[in-house]
Amino acid sequence: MKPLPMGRVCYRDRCISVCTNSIAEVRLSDSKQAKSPIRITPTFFYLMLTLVDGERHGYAMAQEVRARSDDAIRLGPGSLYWSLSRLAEVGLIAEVSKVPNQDPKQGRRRYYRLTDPGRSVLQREVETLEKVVSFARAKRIV
Amino acid sequence: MLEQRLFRLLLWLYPPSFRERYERDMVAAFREARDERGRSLPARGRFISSIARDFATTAPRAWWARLFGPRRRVGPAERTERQLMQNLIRDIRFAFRGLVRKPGLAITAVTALGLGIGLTTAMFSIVNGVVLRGLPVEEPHEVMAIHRIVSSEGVNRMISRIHDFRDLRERQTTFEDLAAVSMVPVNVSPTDSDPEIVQGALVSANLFSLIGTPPLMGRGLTAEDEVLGAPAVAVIGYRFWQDRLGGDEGVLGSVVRMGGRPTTIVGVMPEKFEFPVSQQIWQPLQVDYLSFERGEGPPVFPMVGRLKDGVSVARGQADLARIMTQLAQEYPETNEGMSVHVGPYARVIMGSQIASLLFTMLGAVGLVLLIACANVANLLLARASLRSKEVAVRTALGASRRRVIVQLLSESTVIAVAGAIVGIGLAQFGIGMFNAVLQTFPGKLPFWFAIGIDPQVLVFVLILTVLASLLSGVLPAVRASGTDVNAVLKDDSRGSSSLRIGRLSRSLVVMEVAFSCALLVAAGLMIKSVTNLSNIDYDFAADNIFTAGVALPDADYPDDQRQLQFFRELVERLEAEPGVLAASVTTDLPIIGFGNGRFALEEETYLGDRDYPSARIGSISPEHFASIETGVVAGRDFTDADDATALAVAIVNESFQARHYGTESALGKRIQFQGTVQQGVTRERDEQWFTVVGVVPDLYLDTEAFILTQNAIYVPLAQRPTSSVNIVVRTQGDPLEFTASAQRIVASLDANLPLSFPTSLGAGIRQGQSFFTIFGVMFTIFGGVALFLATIGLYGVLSFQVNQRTREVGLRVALGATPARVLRLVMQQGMKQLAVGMAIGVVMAFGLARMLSLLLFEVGAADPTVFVGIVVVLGVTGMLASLLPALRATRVDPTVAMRAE
Repeated sequence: MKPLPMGRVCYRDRCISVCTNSIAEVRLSDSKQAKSPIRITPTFFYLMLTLVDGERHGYAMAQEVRARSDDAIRLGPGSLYWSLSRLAEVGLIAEVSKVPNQDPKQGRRRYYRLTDPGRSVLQREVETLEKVVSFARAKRIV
Repeated sequence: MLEQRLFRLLLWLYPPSFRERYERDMVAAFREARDERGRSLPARGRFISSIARDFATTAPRAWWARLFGPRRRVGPAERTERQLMQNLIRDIRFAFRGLVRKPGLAITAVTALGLGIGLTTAMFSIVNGVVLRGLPVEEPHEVMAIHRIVSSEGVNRMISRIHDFRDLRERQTTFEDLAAVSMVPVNVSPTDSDPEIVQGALVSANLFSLIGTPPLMGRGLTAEDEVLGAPAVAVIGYRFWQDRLGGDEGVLGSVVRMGGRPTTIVGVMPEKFEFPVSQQIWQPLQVDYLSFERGEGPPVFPMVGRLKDGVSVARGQADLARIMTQLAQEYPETNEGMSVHVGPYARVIMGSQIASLLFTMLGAVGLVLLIACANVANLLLARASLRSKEVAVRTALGASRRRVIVQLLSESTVIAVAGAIVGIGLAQFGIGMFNAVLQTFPGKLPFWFAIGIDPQVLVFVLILTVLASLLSGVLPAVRASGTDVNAVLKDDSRGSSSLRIGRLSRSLVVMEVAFSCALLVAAGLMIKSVTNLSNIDYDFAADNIFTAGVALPDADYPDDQRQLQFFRELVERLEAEPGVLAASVTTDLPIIGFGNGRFALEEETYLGDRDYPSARIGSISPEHFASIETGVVAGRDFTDADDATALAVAIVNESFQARHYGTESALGKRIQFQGTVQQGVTRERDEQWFTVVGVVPDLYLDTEAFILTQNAIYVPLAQRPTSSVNIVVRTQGDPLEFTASAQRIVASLDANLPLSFPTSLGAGIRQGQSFFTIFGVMFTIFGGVALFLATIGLYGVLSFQVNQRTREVGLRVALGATPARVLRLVMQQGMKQLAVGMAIGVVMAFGLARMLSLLLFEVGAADPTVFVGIVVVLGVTGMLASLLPALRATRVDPTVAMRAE
């Protein structure tokens, strides 16, 4: 993917414009779909990060978020699946249709993966954060 | 399993499409989260409240997105959802309109639920702030208070000794760590102001890290500070720093005299940290374990521990109890029969009695809420019966039963929500009053007391609102929707009354009467108890007595002679002050100071240490009884001649005389003291025998229980000296105005000596009583509200029945029934409900009263006057409530009534 000017990420037939103030506006090229603004909150950010290594089910994601955020972000079942439904709705993550090695006793669970637009948004977010952090370092606040 | 079912039920709060999609995964996530949390009650509580919060924040968002989110192609599922939501909005609007059209019903119902929810919320906030929430620290439920107990004697919460603490700390496996605390008053004498007594504590250095509160400034205590002979250091509290040191930023490193030693201030704790109760100074507990025999050394009270993650209280308890058993085997002389009690900190320090009392009150106020719900249910039942025709028409036109129920339930929901809003307002007001009363106990309240409406309380209100709307709405809705459409539509003779609700609403009234009877009896007992307390005829002058504590530091007054000399001079100077009628010193005042110990009577033999009887033991100066205007019943008061060289003498109280000598005179009998604790000082067995020379009346000795008949023994201060006493001064004018003079006189004898807790005896007594008064007033409010609600309920149901029976009454009158007969007919109905309700209520009242016995002063739990009085009050009120509808029935005009349909 060729480098793009800040604020715009393109992938295949979908264009995503990313604002620097961490609001990702996801515009799906399918014209029937209206634009759906979604702010990448820390929760969304953490959830997407947990999917970088591969597919996972919701509760495993919630647990990793909790561990990685030092207990700061605890997702109850409601907030977890509400967040996942939002992320899936705007296409940043997607449900996986075939999941291997499910424990039949547990029943079938929904697994999620990071979509390509999701990965781009994530990268863009991280770059933004990096800049902010290096700015903060330069100011010797950390 | 129950939790999971409840969770599944709650999932219905989400839009159906969301629920259907995620239900299985959410339940799985719920199950795993539940399995991970601890099994303890607080852990479960927190888990449930987190789930409730989770629902409360996400369900509205899910609905919002579903209904008002970006327009997309709408599938059939979402069309149904929109339909549902629109129906719901229509139902709520309809309910609103219906209630506005019947403002009487709406106001009554909202008032009833508002009172119920308001009282329950206020009481829950109190319980939450005092015992449930625990300390304002990280993971408060893990912080445990640990006390030694002697279970065979029912002694709980004993002081522990350092050796036990050390062994428990070293051998335990279930706690992250244990810390020792020893509460001590500290004599602080800054260079630029008067000396003062401040509540302080000697603590093990790990306390702050164990509690999880780092200092605001400077450092906490370290292991080096604990070493005997280390430089004296102290960490101070925020309040002390602000009030006494003016919030000086450069306070760290400054030196202040504490307990006679120049002490360096090394840290300041944050605001609202006053561990263990309301302490302001923390100094290291410096102990050389070798220099004390086991069972001696500074007292540790309480021990504090933080449970490891996931360890239950019971496991922690079992672990420490196991160690105590080992210690009892290793050191039988000191540890025989000793065990240990572990419990959540706030609850244990408040005492199990207070905690159970608060929960009893919460239960009582729950009864008020139930009465309110029954009232609203009755009102809605009546309304539903009037609308049975409307419901039948709707059903005939194709409305499903579910649809009808939802419509009727939306009415009770609107009422409950309005009631909750009113209730929160009322609760806020009630909490404000309660806090204002608490403000009158400055510096004595435990630091974690914070009574207010916080998120936990709001979740509680939410649950209450749902409960109230269901309790008051489900019965009428199910009843109304389940009618036989055919019958109702065909039945044109009675229009609205086909619905048979009589028995149901009558039993609701019976329940209301029963609950309010129980609450009123409790209120009556409390009122009587408070009245008894304020009418106590004291055997001493409660007014015009000034009192304050004086404690001589051992460093400056090393021997009895110097201490006695000081007190003698103090009394002389006090007496010489203008406006002073009499002065004395004592270790045991009717309400202040304490001293307890075991003793032996000369003529008795005792098998073991614990067979000796116990008594309050006080050392007093000559003429003490004269100074508080207590007459000696038999024998004589102490005089200056009763000094260390004279015959050892004692004065006992009337309870002592009656209990140990009966009708025989106590004068001339001899007593020997075993180990005693006096003003916090432990004394060993006394070898000498004290001869009883006088008997005095029982003085009220205990502000917590106002126990009347406790043994008391007084001995001359000169024969049983101590370094810490209370001065007692009878003044001509307001005793509190004497404070400055007393301070000046003490300072004239020793400039570094502070006066502690100056007060008047009267004020102290009133403060002790206010605890009872607060609870008494609260119960009176509960009872009053319950009576009000039950009366309205009875009146409402009877009026409605009279209306329903207009035709029947008309017929009876037409057939020749006299007004008196009609009156009796209607009254009988009401009286029957009243009588059954009161019978059940009286039985319930016995149970409730027993739970309150801690608060009852000179009132039996089955006090006949209170029971009879309440039955009369309730009977008369109930009779009046049924008289009005009955009178209306007598005015029924038969011609109008028969034509009415």
